[in-house]
Amino acid sequence: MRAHHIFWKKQEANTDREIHFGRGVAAKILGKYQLLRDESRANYVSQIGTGISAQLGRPEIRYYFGILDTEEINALAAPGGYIFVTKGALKLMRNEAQLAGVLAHELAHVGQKHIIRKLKLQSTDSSVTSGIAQVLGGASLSAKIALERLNDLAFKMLMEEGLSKDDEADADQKALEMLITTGYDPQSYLDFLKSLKPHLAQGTAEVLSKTHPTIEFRYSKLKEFISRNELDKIQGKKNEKRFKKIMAAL
Amino acid sequence: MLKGKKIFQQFFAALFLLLSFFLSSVFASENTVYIKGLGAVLREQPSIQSKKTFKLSRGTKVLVIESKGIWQKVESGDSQGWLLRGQISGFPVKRKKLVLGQKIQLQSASGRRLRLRTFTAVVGVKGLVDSEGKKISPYQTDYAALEWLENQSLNEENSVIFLTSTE
Repeated sequence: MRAHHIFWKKQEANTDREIHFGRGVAAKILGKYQLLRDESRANYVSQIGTGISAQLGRPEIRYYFGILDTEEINALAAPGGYIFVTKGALKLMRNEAQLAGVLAHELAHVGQKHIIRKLKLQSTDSSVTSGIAQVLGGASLSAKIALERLNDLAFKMLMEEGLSKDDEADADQKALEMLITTGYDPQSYLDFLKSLKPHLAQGTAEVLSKTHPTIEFRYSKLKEFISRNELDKIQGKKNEKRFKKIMAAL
Repeated sequence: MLKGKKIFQQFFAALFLLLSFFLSSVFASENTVYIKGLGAVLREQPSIQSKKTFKLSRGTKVLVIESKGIWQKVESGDSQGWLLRGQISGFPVKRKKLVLGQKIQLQSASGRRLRLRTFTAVVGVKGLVDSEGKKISPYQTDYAALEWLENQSLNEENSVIFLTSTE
């Protein structure tokens, strides 16, 4: 048996734990923001997200996509596949390619396990999720309290501190790759980033501005990536009509 | 003396074979990857405008033979072509994990009995207290909304079709 098969077996066991952990974080996100239970719009966002994740997400994870009923502009991902976009962000978007880009950015955070890495849930064997496994494996009250503390830390990170600038730049680049792979217009994502700028100053994207690097930084990193990989001439679908029809009067 | 030399040679021959096997295994595992998603199509050239040649199903084992930026040239049986690197994974594809359905009964701080899924929920509810009577978390949770979201999960194949359809 090859080494990576042995590693995989271990990783598989840890996926359960990662989802348990992420589920706790997702429940806290939904404790802060109400979930928009609008089946038609929720279904549309979920179809776009699932369509991307089915092709480019982690195959062992079932992803869930929800709309948060708030005017704040933001999108969030909890470990294990729980992805949210706010009503405020949807209102700012101009087409489906922008929605796909934002969901893809969050999918990249889950795919790269950025939160878990930032929380340094790592044990001596360097497996990223085995740290969680140690906490979640325990059935005692103290183990559950430890898990709850970890959930709080992850939630606080999403609301206040954010991930590293490098992780955000990495998620932006992966989002762009996902857009290209799924046939969407990559420029639309850059346009959406630009459109965020006035809102960051006005305070309608307060959490986003606290938790993400500046738009200038993200934009310049993406431009650098585009030029390095000769992606500047790629065009794709925007599906503006479909998006506007579903999001009308949101 | 001759017998000793022969044993010595046999030992090194066996060691060489073992080492060769190990190295080939290591290099094979580095180049062997798996198609991780639905709808992966090989292209003639490393370009999104290039002609599509062959469709690969999720989990197919392929060999990477060349890399160019975000593109990877792979080989599967008699077929060769280019894929975007996000479409492959270094690990074999396993079935999806679902963490649902385990109903748990517990008591909140107010004494009300709660029915929740999964043991993550046990300590995730506002008002749940530790053994000293202190609240475990300052944050609220909404597991009912989470379960509503989990029930909206869609079929992957249909979503890919929806994504690829034009408006």
